[in-house]
Amino acid sequence: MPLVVLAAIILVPLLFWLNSEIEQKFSSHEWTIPAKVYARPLELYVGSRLSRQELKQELEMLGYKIASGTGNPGSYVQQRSGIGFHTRGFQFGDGFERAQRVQAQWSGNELSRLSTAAGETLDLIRLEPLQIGGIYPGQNEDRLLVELSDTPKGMLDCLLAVEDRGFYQHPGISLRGISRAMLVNLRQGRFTQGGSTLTQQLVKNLFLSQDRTLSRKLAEIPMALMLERKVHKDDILQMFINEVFLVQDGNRAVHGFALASQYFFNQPLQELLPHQYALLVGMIKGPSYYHPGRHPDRAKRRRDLVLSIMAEQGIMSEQEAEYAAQLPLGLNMRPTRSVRQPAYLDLVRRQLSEDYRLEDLQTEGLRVFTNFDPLVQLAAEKSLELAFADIDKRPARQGKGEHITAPSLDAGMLVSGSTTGDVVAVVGGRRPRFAGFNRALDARRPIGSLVKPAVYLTALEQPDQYTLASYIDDERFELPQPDGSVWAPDNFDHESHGSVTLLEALSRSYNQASAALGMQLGIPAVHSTLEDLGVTSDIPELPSLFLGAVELSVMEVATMYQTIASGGFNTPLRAIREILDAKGEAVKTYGLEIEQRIAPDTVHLLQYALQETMRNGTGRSAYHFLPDTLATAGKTGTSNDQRDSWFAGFSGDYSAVVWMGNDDYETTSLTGSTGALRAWSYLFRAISRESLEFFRPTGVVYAWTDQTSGLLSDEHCRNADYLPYLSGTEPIRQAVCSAQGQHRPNWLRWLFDRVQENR
Amino acid sequence: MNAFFDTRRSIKTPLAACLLTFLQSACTYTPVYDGRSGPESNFPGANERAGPPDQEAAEMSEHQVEGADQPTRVAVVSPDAIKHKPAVSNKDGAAAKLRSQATDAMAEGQTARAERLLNRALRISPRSPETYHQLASIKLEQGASGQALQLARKGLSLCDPDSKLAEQLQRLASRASGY
Repeated sequence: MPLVVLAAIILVPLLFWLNSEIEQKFSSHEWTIPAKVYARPLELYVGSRLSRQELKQELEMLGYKIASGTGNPGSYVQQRSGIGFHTRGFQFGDGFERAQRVQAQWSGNELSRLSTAAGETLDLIRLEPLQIGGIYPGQNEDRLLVELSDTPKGMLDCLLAVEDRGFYQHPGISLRGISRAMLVNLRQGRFTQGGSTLTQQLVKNLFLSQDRTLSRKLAEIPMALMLERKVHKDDILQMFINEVFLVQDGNRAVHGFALASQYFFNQPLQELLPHQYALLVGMIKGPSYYHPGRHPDRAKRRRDLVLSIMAEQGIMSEQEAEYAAQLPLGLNMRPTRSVRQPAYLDLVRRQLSEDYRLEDLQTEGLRVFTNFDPLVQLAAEKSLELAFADIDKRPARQGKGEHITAPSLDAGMLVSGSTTGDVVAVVGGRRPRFAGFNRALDARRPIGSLVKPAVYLTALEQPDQYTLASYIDDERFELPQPDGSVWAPDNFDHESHGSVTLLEALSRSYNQASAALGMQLGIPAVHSTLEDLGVTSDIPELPSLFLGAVELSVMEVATMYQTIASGGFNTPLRAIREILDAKGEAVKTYGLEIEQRIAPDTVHLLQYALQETMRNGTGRSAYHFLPDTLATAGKTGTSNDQRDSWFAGFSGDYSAVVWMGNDDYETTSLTGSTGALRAWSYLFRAISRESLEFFRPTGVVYAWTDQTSGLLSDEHCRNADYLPYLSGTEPIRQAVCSAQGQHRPNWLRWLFDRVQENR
Repeated sequence: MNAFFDTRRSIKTPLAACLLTFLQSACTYTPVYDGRSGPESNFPGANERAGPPDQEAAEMSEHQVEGADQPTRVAVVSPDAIKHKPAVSNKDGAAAKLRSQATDAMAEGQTARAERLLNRALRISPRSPETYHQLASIKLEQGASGQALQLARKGLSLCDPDSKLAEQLQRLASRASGY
């Protein structure tokens, strides 16, 4: 009798505790769901300059399979005339993009026709976005929740047939199962089998430690019984398929069939066929023992056993099971590293943390839609690879040591939409798959000549004083500093070029002329222009600022050039478009935010000078790679002793900044042109389809200008440049036009023009 | 003489090529770029760049560029290419479709949806002044006059100054700055 009392004293509170555990677990959030981060959805429309190859690349990244015949969602077929594919459909913030069969056709480089299978024209469709990562809580558990109704029916039948045939009948435990297991345990002399129901397995996973002990078993039984009394069978089953642990991926534990389906097959669960889901169901028994990647033979035997059980239970016919057993495992595991985008996700995380607490990101199941463009990212990584290969091949220059690239030479890169400010790609280092020091965001380095556009812009903002044709002296000068030293800027080629125009001085990146101009303008004026352009870091108040003695990150330089690229409108560089909650409701939308900082007319002049840099100045080697027809603008930068090689430039569609250098500030013997510009050129050759548009703003006039005198010239005169001026600042006095013999006679010109037209 | 070769390469009939060669040499024409033709025709080294870039040519460094006296100059833009009216983007069909959906959304009072659609239109065709106009009107309606003004200015910087749209944007901008 005292024994019973004693048992009651211990057991009753224990039961209460178990009960409250269950209540708590199920009433609050059942699972912590990490935020999912998505790339931009690929927009398809007639007129898009997306190439056929790029669409194919995108479909493959999304895990589309080559289909024969009509095909299911998530399949595509290559035809002579284009690509046919069946989209999966996706719930976006602004509506549902339905799954449909689409035909895409090209004419030249343009997408020329989009139609449904029935031949109806489609104006515009979106593919579902690629998931590029998640933000995981401490335990690093990842899940993709799925509802019972979205799980293939055959898969559920299969699961019950293999793991718990009496699931819909038993009260949470199965006496038959336990007694059968006990028999096995007795025979083997140790505790190897549990005979657990799905309910017990769920309880075990949710509440109990993972040891196979008898005491755990004893706690499992009452909890399973209690759970069954509180929760409907279907809900238990749904929890099970979302909770079940299937594979360990690095430091991430993959839970649930839906995520495992993505992991092993790169397909949504709904699309799985019997030979695929049988594998997943079979793996429950021993996730690492039956890991299909590591133990393919063992996994296949287990899968085939599952298939035969399905046939035996009448879930499928013998023939179907035999056919499925002949199929290979059909794994499509993207090498995990290739989908990792640590540098971009780093930016996403930082921008999220401005508005969210980390805990909410890790648990609330938010969906974060970003501007990440996997096609541009791959092109960016590739262009750096190519540039590094070129640099490595280059013979060392005399007196510069044996190797131009120390193995430590590294890089950072950021690509954005040139008008929108959408950040589409970030490369944080030479080995982009590895998380680590993010050189695009965290390396702050002297920007060298990249600062010069701010100096010249400051001048051009005083149109009564300066035009692009104004002269400035490129001569040695000395400036005593407050600390007793003397500042005497030198040119890269150690030569002075005398009286040069602003246009020439900027496009050739002359230091002495730029410093002299800066001195005329004053430090505060240049400082304020830099701030207008979007620089928020500390800017040193020294004259060496005019030559780039200011340390900025790639990201900040990108902000500065973005303002120039978008015609004087500053816009925050954004990784995130929109955040939706677990139910698909918008939590926050980041719309376009712009602010005019510089008059578009003045920026037009600067853009002209930066195009001159690309055509005739320090950036011209870019056109070894770019088509002549692509108008680009940009600026090289090289810091003191060539420790940093920079390039910032843009075209009509993209803007990008590249930095190369050593983390330890070792010299590189690269200049902006030989290092960073090379990578930038490869990148723009791959991604840029739109020229910088030459649209003349109302306040700008173009005038033929004599190169030597800066006076008004004429179209037919030699040494005449067609230069932009703010209205009213163009030259008025006429220069003496060069002698007739030195230019083509009119009749020859007439012939020449006819020939040109025939091209 | 690169520009010269480039010219000759593009000529259809051999006779014309011969004639032009003769005439040009007779006139001691020096192929200094004088801003008369488009950038395509007078690019230095166009022949070399037809193939894969050779290492030597690609080696051109900042040093060489800064030091060398350059005989030929490539026009940044040919006079004919300077437009006073923006080009109509080939992407604008898709953007126009989204704009009309946004108009419908506004009519149904779904402002948030309209904004989303317009942001999507901007990503497809970021230089459509019409999209900026529509977004600016929504912002003004919401009372966000600062952003409305900025968007109107952006639209103005992208549109034909003589167009009706420019007039509308101008009016919107002055309303926005009047708040």
